[in-house]
Amino acid sequence: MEEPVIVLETQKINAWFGKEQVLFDVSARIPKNRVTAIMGPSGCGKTTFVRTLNGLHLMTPGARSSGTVLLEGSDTSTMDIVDVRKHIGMVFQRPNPFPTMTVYENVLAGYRLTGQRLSREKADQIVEATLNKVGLWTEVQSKLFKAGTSLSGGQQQRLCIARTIAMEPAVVLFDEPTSALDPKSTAIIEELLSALKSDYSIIFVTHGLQQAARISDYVAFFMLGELVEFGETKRVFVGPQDKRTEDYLSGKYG
Amino acid sequence: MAAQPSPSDRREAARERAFTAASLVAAVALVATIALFLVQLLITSRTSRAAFGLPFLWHSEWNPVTEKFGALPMIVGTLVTGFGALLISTPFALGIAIFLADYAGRKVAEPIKYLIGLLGGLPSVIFGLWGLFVLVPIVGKFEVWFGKLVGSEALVASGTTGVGLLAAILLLAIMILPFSASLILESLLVVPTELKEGALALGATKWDMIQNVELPYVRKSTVGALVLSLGRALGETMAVTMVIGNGMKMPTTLFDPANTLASAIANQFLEATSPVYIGSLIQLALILFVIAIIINVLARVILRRGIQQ
Repeated sequence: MEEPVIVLETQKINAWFGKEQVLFDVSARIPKNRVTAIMGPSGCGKTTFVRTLNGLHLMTPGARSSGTVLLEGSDTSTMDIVDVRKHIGMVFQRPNPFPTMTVYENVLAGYRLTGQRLSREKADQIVEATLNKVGLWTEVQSKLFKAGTSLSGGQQQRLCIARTIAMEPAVVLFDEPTSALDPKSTAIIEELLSALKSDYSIIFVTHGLQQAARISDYVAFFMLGELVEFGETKRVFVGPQDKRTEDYLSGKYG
Repeated sequence: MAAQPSPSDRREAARERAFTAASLVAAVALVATIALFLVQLLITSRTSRAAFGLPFLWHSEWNPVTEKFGALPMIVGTLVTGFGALLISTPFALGIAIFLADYAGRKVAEPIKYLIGLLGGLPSVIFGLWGLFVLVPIVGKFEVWFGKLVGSEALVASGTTGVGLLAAILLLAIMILPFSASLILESLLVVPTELKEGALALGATKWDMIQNVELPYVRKSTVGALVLSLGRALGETMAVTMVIGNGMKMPTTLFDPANTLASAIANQFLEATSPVYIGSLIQLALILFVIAIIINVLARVILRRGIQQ
């Protein structure tokens, strides 16, 4: 099996909320243009891990972290956090389109928020292309100038994916993006992932084993703040090397 | 399980009825108080309406000797001081609220919030005293300086007092600041974290996020907060009475002594002896009452729309 190209590498990430340590020496190498699932039982540090990647972890009062994140080889601690976030996009657990913006404005929110001006044609072009990529164009074409929050939950989440990829990030973090959605919307988003990975590297937090198995090429199994096992999804599911992974896969805890 | 009500059940039911009746009486009493209050104002002010009618609203002469009364200078005084104070205090209120909501850590924000609450609860006579002994002399010096600057003998001469519209505006601005700042802060604090994080995750700086996500989100509730603050400024009596100078002529500059509806009543009710004079003062109260109702209804409508959004 040939070695995949690595887009993001973490070295000994530790994270704390106040005095409580929630991540312990997490070192992982995330392959480019693949879907990497982050799975594990509740409270294992999955979400904290992805939030350390784009610095959102530090927004929580009392939160700290240490360790190195290399994005395409360069240390993100030497970059401006705003630039890091332009390269590492994020889709959240609950759809969070900006309620004061229209569908159209939501797609372009990243440009507006970072003060980038676009010509009318360029803006139209980005909106149409991006909404097409998330399969939303035909559905919302007639609602472009309605509030982003007027769409259904599943559509809102795809709108949030659209606004994230409109910025052309290298990596997209998905923090349990389907946990608030119905099965049909979940299926649509899962299908979307395989189309998106040709352009982006995807890190997908999920607490569902089946979901991880369905969508991912690689999987990272977290427990109690440690990265227990990392590898190709098929290999991990078929022949876990760590006893804890095996126990988790066989349903001993979850 | 028996359908037969036991004696204790019946006692329960009787207590229930008694309590319902008592709270109903209290509720009715409140409505009745407001209604009677309004009726009383209408009755006692009828001498004024009989003498001057509707033109009372736009006549600008106020002369107890000739018993000619018109409310326009006080209406103007009320609106100028209210809106002037709002204009000056709003940028500061926004700044304080944004700082406390997004920039200050808890260790800094908590004591400041406490101080704001304290300032908001200070009796207005204390503001008035401070205004009279500290603010008014400063305004007086400024007036003299400004009078020399524009070559106005009148301003230089009257600057020795310092009381007037400007002093009242500045004092009111300070007085409504804690109120509007804490109302705006309240609404900023309910902006969902997921929206703020959503903006930051797209590469927004904090200030980008505040401008494009947070402030638009609270736009309506902020306007509501400002209208409520305006209501406070329009009705504030004691402090304004102490610094505005009890001038009954139509003010022509911001340095002129003037009166608001509230301060005119406070300044003159002891001197008012004739029925028409008393009636006219009460008519002023009625006008203020109506303005206050309009402002509060307006704020409510705006706030409700803000929540629905």
